[in-house]
Amino acid sequence: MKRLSLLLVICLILGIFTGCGGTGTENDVKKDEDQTETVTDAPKEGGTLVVGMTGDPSTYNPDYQADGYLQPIAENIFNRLIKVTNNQEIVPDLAKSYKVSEDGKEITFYLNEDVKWHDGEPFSSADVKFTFDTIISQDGQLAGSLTSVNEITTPDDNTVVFKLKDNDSSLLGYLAWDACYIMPKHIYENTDWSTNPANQNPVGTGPFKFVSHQKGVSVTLERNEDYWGDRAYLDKVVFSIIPDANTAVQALYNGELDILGVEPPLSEAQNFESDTNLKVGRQYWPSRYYMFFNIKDSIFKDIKLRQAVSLGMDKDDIIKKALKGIGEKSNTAMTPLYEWALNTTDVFPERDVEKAIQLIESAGYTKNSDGMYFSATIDVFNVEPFTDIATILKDNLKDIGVDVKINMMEEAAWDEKVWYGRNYDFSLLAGYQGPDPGALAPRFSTDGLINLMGYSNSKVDEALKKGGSLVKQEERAPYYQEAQKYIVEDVPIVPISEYISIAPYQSYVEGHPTSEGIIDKTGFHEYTYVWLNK
Amino acid sequence: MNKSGNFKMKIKKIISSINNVKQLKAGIILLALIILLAIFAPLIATHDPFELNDDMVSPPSNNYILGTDGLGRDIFSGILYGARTSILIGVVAASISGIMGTLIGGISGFYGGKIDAVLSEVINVFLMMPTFFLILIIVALFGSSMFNVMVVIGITTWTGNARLMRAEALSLKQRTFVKSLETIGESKFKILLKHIIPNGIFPIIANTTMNVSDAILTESALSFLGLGDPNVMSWGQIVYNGKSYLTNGWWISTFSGIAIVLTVLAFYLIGDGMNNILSPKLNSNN
Repeated sequence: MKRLSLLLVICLILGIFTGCGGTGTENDVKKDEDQTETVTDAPKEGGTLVVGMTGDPSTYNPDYQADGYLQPIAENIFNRLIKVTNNQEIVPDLAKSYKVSEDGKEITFYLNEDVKWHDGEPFSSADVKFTFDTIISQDGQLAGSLTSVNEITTPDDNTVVFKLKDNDSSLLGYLAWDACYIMPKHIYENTDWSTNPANQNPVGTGPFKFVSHQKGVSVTLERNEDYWGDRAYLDKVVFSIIPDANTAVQALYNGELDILGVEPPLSEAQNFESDTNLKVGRQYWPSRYYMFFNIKDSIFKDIKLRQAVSLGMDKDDIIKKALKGIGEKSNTAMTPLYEWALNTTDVFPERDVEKAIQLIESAGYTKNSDGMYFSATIDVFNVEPFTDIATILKDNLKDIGVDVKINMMEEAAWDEKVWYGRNYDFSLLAGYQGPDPGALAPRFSTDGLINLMGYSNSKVDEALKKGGSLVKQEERAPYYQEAQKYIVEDVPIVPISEYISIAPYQSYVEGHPTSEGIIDKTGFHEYTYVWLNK
Repeated sequence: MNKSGNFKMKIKKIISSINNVKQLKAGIILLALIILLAIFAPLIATHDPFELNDDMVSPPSNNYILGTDGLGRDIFSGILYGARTSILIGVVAASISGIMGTLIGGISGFYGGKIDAVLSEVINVFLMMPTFFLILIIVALFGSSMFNVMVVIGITTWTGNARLMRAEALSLKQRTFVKSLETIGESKFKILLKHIIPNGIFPIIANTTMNVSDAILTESALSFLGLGDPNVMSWGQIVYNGKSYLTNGWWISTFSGIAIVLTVLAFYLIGDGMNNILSPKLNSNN
């Protein structure tokens, strides 16, 4: 496998050079030089990678409870059945392949052979069954997304079958996401999984082994020499704990960190791009920024006003100033990452100030002495970039005669007022809207959990329900596209920008999980293919 | 004639005593300058402070005298308009605190007995509370409009004034003129309002002036934590906006920070100077 990937890299590089190579002797000489360089550029083994992190993981039980600090570490110590890449694609992990039955009620995973746990015990399908049975019985973090699972069977050591009550098209997405790392049955069986000593000394099947954790300082991993897949190049990976993102950024500039590892402040984006010592990876997330209206009980009951605000918003301005260019204008009703179900014909319109004013006037509003038709309050929590987005929105909507008052709140207070209280005019939100178009349902169906708008359209409900009950993409797509059409018509939300996060790292770091050729085969923060070119 | 002569004499006396106390003079000149800038902000400002220009994080230049912030707003104009907000918040909050402190302290000291016992405990309770965290909680719960911020700062900082006034009232009520008023049969409340408070107000005035600067600082601190009112321009908010640009846009936080320092300094100098003039002890030492 390793040789194969090396060959691939060489082919790729050669391909680029033959692509731009011209005629003439000079070019030929250069080409030769470059070729010799590619030989020295082959991945080098050894070295220690230092990655930033903002806090201590509280436990190394990866499936027990939500712990954002553990995720990047867990991806390197453990494996999942399947995993999701920085392209938001699902690729094999412990399961080399899987098959969904015709009626969608059975998913069969075929596992890799000769996989060993870090303590030398052999891995088998029993571990997989144990892991998911425990998640469900002990109410692990993912339990809520596994409700469709009826039974898990293991016909042989390398096969696992998920038998479902109902066909559940989003299950695969969840199995590739977080909190479903396969845990060792021989260590956890018949123990309390929340207090097992292995929670502080984890045993996984992943490319790196756990070495030590110094509270508040660092977490150290070393290469798993007997890894079943491609062996890692790095000797060690050290996660260095730096609680403040700004400090972490300075540590990256000073060369103390090889990979920033934490989400940097957007204001640094341009500095990263212009720094020649750094490379910047981009991660696309189905977590778009959007504005949403209180449709049930606010001035925005009137669809004309919602349309007007949608027309008055200047998304380019917001992306340029609030997001510092790290975004992509959203006009579709769903994240474009799930292209197969995307409706690209029915989309939100471009900015049109005149039309917006016409709509407001036709709704019966007249200008007051300040030149404003009406005023509305936008509730935002005081987290960047939401406050900046609100500030720019206020400026945008002044142009169409809407006087926006910004009410900035602490997150818990926002939850109380907007999320639970539903007492607001309009507000801003982002958040994970995957792993499948099925994620439209909790946001837009009448009784959806994240339907903060109070939006209700029976046609949308029906389309989303149908889309969720079918198996094949081509059968599901038309229903989701139909739902998107109604969402654009009814304007319960206005999408602003796609969510892109930037991952800066030192230029000598090769094989970063966002880099070309690697992005298709590793998890978000998996450092199997990373090597240091220095 | 005589009256106006008296008046002139009084003014002369005030001016000479201001001239005598250096810090008071410096403070008043500084404050006058700041207030003038705030009043004439629309004339002096080069840009609309809320306008989002296309030049983001642009350094000080001819067009943007003190540079622009991360969203392209002009810092110079922002500081001018921010002076209005900051001074307004400071004065209103300090006034609320002054009035509350005077009344509660006066009543407590003058009436004595059970009323004093209860009010003193109330004062103690408020003194013990970590004010800033109380303010944080209130603002987080009730929103961060400028009105809220002013009121909250006012009603959490009156204890100092109340203790001063209570001490004054305790000593004043032993004086002969108060005793004689009581024997004449003047109502207690009238004595408090007409005699105790006017005679004991001087330390409160000095303290309130200093409270203005404390209130300005508290508002800045709130804004710096992202809990200011985003609908108005205030210095604390400009500092907050500049926080994430410290490495590539030093001018955002620096100039607004300097504005805060100067204003706070002005009020402190005035408060300290007034203390010198109004407090008989310090006066006789001079």
